Amino acid sequence: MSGRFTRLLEPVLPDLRRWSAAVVRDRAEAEDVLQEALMKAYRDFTRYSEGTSFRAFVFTYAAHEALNRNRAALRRREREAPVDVAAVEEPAAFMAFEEMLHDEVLRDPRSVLAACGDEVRAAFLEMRVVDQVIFLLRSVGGLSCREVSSALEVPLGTVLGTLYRVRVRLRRRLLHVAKERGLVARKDER
Amino acid sequence: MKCHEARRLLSPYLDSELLGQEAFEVSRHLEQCPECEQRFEAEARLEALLVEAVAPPLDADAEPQSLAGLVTRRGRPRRTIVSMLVAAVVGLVVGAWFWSAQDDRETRETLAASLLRMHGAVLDGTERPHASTSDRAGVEAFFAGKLDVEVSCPGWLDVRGVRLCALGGEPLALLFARDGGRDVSVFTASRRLLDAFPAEREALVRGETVTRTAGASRVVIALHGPVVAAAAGAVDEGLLLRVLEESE
Repeated sequence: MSGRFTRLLEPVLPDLRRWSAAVVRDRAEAEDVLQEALMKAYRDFTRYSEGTSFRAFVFTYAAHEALNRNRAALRRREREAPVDVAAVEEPAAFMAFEEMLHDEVLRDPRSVLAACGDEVRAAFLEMRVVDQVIFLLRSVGGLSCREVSSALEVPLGTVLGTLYRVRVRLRRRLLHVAKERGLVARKDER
Repeated sequence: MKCHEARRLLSPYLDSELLGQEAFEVSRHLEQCPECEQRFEAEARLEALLVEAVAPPLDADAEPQSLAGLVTRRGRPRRTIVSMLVAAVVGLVVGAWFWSAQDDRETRETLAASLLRMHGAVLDGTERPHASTSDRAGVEAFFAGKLDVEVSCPGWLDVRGVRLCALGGEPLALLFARDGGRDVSVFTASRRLLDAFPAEREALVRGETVTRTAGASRVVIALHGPVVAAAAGAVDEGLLLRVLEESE
């Protein structure tokens, strides 16, 4: 069984490591999360069903491990810093002026990201851990939305809604920082 | 569909989550509206860059890449997993060195060889259908919710049955079909299957078709967006290519 587990894991491991590093941040802690998740996945490998995605199977353990580790820290953080209602209630879709800036960003996103990537990362880290986990399971883990829904035992609509909100917030931060730094401007401001 | 309606569906489009009528309407709109097509492509590029920003690719040299390297990494084995390391990790590491004959064969095999082997198993009766069906609706109903890509086949192909297999840790749809009295196996899987088969991945991602022959049988493999499709049988290559083209 161990050889089979290893063989299935090998192509998934680079993405697992990248995912873990992005979610857990501290490199040593990320390795611990990965180790723990792999131990549990191996322990339960007999539950893995032939004909289903091994990638989804093993990422499920990684997601639960990361969320469990963050739960205590999250509770502490929320006690210390109450939720900012204004931030939560930001508009879900772009405002008209943001659409114009976004068009500018889309012209040369690589240059804008090169200059503002640190702020985008900071915005991502400010989001709820579960939102980060969902976004990264989809984008780095390569799980389908249904697999993410199943892994975290949340409704599919929650996954789709979270992905939408995370995308809007990342783009919003990107274009606001790009504007502050003079990288983009609305046509009427030039 | 109007431009603003199509753009409202950008997020599910990026996730390949559009289904049925919406997927059809967006595809048709993008074919007819170059501005939206460019916009969606630009958004997809931006999405990839945003993902790189929030989850930077790791330096290949900075981290151990093998499982053995991970579990034997110098430094700090966790208190909580020391006992499990003793019981299970040793098995993993040792297992990596002493793969079973089956594991070893599958690891060395190319995707084409694996599919030809599976087709051989269909011919000798080792691989048998999980369900008998002869129509498109039956195929779709059987695979509904089992794969995250759509399974389809040309209407003219005489489908006899369906089976859910696994290859490289990914689910793989197998259709048992016949054409002119000869058996044809039609395979469908998510492109993630290619993670386990780097030998063919590069050519397929470039848009090439991979063809291999073993004895009287040949297999043709192609990548259509998120779907890896393949057809195998002791038939003309042209027929297998037609199966793939008309399965899109």
